[in-house]
Amino acid sequence: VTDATAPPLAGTLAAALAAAWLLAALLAHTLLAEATWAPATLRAFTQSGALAATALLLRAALPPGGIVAATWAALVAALAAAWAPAGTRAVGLAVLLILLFAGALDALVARGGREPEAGTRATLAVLLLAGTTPLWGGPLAEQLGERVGAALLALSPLSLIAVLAGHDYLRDPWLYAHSAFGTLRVAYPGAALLACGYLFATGLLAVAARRPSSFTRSLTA
Amino acid sequence: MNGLVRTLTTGCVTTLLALATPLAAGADLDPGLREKAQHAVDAGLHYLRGTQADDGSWSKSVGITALALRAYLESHRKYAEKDGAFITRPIEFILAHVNDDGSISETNQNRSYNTAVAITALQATGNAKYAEVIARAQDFLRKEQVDEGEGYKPDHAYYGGIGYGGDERPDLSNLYLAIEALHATKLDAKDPTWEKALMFVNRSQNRSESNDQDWAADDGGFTYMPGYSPHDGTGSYGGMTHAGLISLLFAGVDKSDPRVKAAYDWIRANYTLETNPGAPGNHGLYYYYNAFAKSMYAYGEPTIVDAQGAEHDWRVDLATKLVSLQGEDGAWFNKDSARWWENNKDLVTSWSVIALNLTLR
Repeated sequence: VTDATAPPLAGTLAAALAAAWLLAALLAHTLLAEATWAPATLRAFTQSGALAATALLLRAALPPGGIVAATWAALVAALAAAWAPAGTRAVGLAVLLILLFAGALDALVARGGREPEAGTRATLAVLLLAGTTPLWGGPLAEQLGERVGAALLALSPLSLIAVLAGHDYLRDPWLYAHSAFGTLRVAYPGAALLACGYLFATGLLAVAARRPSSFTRSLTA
Repeated sequence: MNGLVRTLTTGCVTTLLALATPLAAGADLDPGLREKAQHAVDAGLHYLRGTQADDGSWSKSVGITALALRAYLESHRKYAEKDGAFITRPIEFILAHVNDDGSISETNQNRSYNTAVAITALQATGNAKYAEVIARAQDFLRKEQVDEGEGYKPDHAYYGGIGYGGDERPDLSNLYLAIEALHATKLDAKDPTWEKALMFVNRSQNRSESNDQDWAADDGGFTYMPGYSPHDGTGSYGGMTHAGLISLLFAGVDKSDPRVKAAYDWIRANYTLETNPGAPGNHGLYYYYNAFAKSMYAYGEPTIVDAQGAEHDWRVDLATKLVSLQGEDGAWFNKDSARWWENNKDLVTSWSVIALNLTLR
């Protein structure tokens, strides 16, 4: 997902993008901090959505190539900002890990001359499927036990956001009403384990994406 | 003359003591059922001894460990710390999970629940050396209460509630356990926590005269939280109505209060131990039995007359039911539902023993 041929301008752009990202994070944090219309988990997810949307808009607005690398670098720089609120940093880190994973998956699917939209479609499908495990996995967890439930829970990107932000989203009123997960003894995975899992999976996908596909090999054979 | 005075004085004192005790005369189980209930308690505690971990815990949970400990301490055997490591080690396990904020929990998810049942158990030891831990835990629970500190105003449906602890979302189940803990640990009756708690309790009752929420019906029962029941819309159900009744009584509401009367009338109208009334699929059945025992004991009447006019001795009914449901291994668990951890034998056995203990008092 990174581009080794990033132009020198990338550093400046990274700083600008870091500022934009951080501004969005702070804005979301400020607007939602006193929002009693939503429980803490919903606020965390809303903030995550705002950050993810900001990152994706920035990426879409910029030309491909080295800028892609600069965007990701900018995200890291922004998250490292010591003066960002602790909750924002946690949510931002979760969003970053999810975006990196999604970017690697996107690159893997779209490699070898396939149309770029194929990667986007597949990535969205995977994220949607994984993100909704607390809904469709509830009956499975209820029938098959705590370990299956814990595995299903770990698959959801929402769990990463919740764990890093310290929120119990399974007891959020809406989810509690629509899934048995909140009533079962299912433990969230540890934050470090989950973060390492995302990094490992991202690394694997990235390495796979850089290897020539069978489609490419057939063209060059 | 002195003898007459002494006799009269003794008689008056005896009468006053009898009136002061929450149990009315005739509360005793018949000898046969008492023996069966005691045997069931012993078998349950024996089961728990077998599943206790080396560190004194059960199911590696502060909450379940505290409930099991309470089951021992309140049993007819009157177990105490002097009886050995099977009592002192769970206490050590609980104390080892006291956090900087005063909560007592091994996980962020259930901090309020765990803290509440932990201090109820610590208080049951009668040991004054836990007073500081209990006081800090009381402060934690008070801070967990949804109020101005979290930006909520009294007109918000969440106001006064307490949730599991990993989120701000409160519910009556966790609030009732916190109320039970604060009552057991003698929080000042003038503390504003009680008044705030009653606002949430009122908003969880299907009684439109005291509940300002639009959805409120008028059957007098309680639902899980304002505007929501996990079973059906905003319908009342057994487990929560007994939790609501306990909450009202422990928060200082008099038995003659219309809110208490309405809750009691719902219980009369839905009296059964075959199911958790209002909940399908036997969900939350043993939670219901546990709350049933505690609310009936707190209410202080030996019998209850159902809506059809039949009189029931709740102790007899509950003891008979629990004895019949006990497994050969001495444990109880919900065969029909895993919700609210009722597939966990340590938890459900602890609940059942605590309930049986109350039938034996």
